[in-house]
Amino acid sequence: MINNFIANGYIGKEEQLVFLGTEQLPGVQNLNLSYTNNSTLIKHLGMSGCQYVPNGIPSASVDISALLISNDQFINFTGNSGINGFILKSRNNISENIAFTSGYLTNYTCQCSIGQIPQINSSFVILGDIGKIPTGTYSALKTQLSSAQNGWSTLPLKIADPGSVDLSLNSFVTNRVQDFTVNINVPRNPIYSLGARFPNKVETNYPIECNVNFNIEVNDYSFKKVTDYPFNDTKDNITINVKDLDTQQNIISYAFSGMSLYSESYSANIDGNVKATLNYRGYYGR
Amino acid sequence: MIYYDQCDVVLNGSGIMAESAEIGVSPSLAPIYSLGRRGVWNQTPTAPITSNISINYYLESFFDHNKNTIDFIKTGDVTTYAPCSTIIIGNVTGSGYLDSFSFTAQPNSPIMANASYTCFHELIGDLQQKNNRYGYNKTNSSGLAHGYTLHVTSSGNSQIIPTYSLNYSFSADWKPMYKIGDKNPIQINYLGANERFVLNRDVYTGLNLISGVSMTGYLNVTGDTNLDIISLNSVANTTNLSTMNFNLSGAKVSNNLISAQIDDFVRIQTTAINYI
Repeated sequence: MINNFIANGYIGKEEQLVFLGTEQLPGVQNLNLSYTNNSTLIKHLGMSGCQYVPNGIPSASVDISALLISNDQFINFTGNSGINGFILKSRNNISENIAFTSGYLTNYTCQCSIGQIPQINSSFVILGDIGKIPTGTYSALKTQLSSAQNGWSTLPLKIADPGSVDLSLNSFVTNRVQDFTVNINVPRNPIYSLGARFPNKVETNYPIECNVNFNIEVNDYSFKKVTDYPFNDTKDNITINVKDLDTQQNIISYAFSGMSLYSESYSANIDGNVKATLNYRGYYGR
Repeated sequence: MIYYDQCDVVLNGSGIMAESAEIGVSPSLAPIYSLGRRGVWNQTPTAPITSNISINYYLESFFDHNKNTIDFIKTGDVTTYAPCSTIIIGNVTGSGYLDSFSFTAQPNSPIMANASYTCFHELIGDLQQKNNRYGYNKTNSSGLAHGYTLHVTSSGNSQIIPTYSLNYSFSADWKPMYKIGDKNPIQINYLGANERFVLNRDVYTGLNLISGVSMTGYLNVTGDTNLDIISLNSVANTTNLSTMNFNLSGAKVSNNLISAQIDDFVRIQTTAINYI
């Protein structure tokens, strides 16, 4: 129960140190961690009392939103590996933790809009344990907690702003990009075997789906038409570099090849210029 | 009207946690026709009355009467004594001979068993509500059989080559012997039995189907052929455990099926049969 985590009084935001593996996450705006166990009522003929039995897979998830500061620590988990994570009140007391083991990223979104710092939203499905976990229970978690206690590498502060973004599409030189979103869906397939509580293996259900969406103010953008598909459809290679506003060094780079333009929208109203929304999609195998 | 929570299901004096139970009674009647008569003259019995009982229930690893019956059939003097079970459903009582017993184990789920019996004697009793004479779930679920704690093979070796699902089935044949002048059989003869294991794994080993391949050495490199169902409480502690054991030695692989479909790994379904 979360309440056991509260020693005395309320816990403020300054007492929430969020770690993925051994790395503390900077810029976390929001974190939500939850689970539901798999208890099921046993119903049988002649029953009088109520007893329960584990039936099905417990559901557990972690959702984290963080500003893109210094680096992107989520993009690396769009591959096949999982991660442990934990929240500490203090680095001096690792037994007071809320933790999870075997978290697998299922959805990654990076949003960048004019007037806002780019933000990353990530969702993890938890296929191990989750909650207040005694430090000695899982050896890998214990090692990572100890590492957090001993300090972590100091990352240089880098902040991106929408003005520090490079986009590779030629049509975006003369047409003003207002915002973009990169979304990566990674479906996971945990494989359970008899004689064990945790998955024997976690497979990634390829292909991985990537979506990139742009909102632009139209200058000379040339719209396509729905019947261009399937033989005249538009495919582009998209590169997005998000840079530190001071040094102009890359904080994160995205590169998607063969993205298919599958949707466009055209919008006009009395309050502004003509706008368009462009949606690209690509699938990537193993 | 008797509602489900007021209907006892009892096997050999012990309440079992049944999700469903059925009794079917069938006299063997045949119509009589005769020259000079139009239509049917009468219906008359041509064979003794028999009843069939079927129960679907939560398997408990600490004790199961049907498993005891199977063990007796395998190792006891079944030619002298045919093991008979007393089954009560809603106070209707029958003496049944185990025709079949089966269960399917899936990960993360309790194991449900299905047992069916044939009764060669008349059923007795009327439908009545339960009288709180029989207890259920004596271990408060800690003794339940579960996918968490079923090991193919023994618990120390079960993850060498994991098993992703298992179906076990047992069937036996009985023949009642009658004599003129007696409605009930004077003797029940055991004719034979077999058990079948169907395992779902991700490892394929080629088979020489002509000679038959023994399960010994086929399941994993240790040669272990045990199938252990340990009580559910073993996930939390190592005391007060109970184990139901099956042994696959003697069974021969009769079929391998390789199946592949999207969003899943390639599965190999192995069927092995042991004749008793």
